[in-house]
Amino acid sequence: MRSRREIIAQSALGLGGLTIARAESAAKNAITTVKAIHEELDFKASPERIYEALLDSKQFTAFSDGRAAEIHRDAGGTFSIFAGHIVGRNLELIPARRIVQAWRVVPWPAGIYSIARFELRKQGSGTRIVFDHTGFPPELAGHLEDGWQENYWKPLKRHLGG
Amino acid sequence: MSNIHQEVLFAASPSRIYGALLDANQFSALSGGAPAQISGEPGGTFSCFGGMITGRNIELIPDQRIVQAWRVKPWESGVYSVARFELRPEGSETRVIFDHAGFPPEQQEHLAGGWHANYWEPLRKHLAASRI
Repeated sequence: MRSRREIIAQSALGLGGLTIARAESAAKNAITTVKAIHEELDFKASPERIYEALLDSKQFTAFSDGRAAEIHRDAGGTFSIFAGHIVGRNLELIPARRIVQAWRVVPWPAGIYSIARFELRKQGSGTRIVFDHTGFPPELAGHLEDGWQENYWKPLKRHLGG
Repeated sequence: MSNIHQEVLFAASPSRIYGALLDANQFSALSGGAPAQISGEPGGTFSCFGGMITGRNIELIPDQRIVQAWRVKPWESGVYSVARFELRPEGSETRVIFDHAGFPPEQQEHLAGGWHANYWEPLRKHLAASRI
């Protein structure tokens, strides 16, 4: 088995310019301290367009290769994305600024939810997404980091044209 | 470690514990009269200890499970932890299996003590006092 340190090192390399603020301290403190993911990503699209793409069922379905997404638009409402593989509930929604979701992968033990927080910061005509993911089963950190990259950021960037 | 796991045994049924945690009047009473507003619906919001703790119900299974997005007022805006209460009957008693995850890691010690002082001990007193 790869150690946590190796996983972090490899995913950090694979993510190019992404900032993974926890990676450095995680490498120093070894396995059990890696329990949060922090990423910052720059998009050319406006905060409004990113907010819409993340909460609009049709757009989300489109950028996730047609895997069905059903997303309620109200705080407290539920969502189901990637054809039911990820489910959860909106905790806090501030249009064009913030999305906080209780987020779980269906095979996780019943009742276990993580918190995914997307802060959208306007930068010129574009947006910086400041993303934090906490409260997930700690052994999944490396897998989830790769997942955000492959299933959210890359397809979202393609969908928005940058 | 930045998760809290606690197991606490109460001399009350799961249904009474579930009720006390989600009923605003009972919660206010057990927290020394501090105002509490608690939605009993999944997706609904709550505010307890006079607004010091706020959040939203993520999942509710009557008499079995409460999962809440839970934040303390001074935390950075938008930051929530997940508090999960599993209620498991053991004879005439109930074991509360509690897990708290996703909070700012430097808060662990403070929070771990807080669950005992502000939830379990007052809840135990409340359940004993209201027993018929």
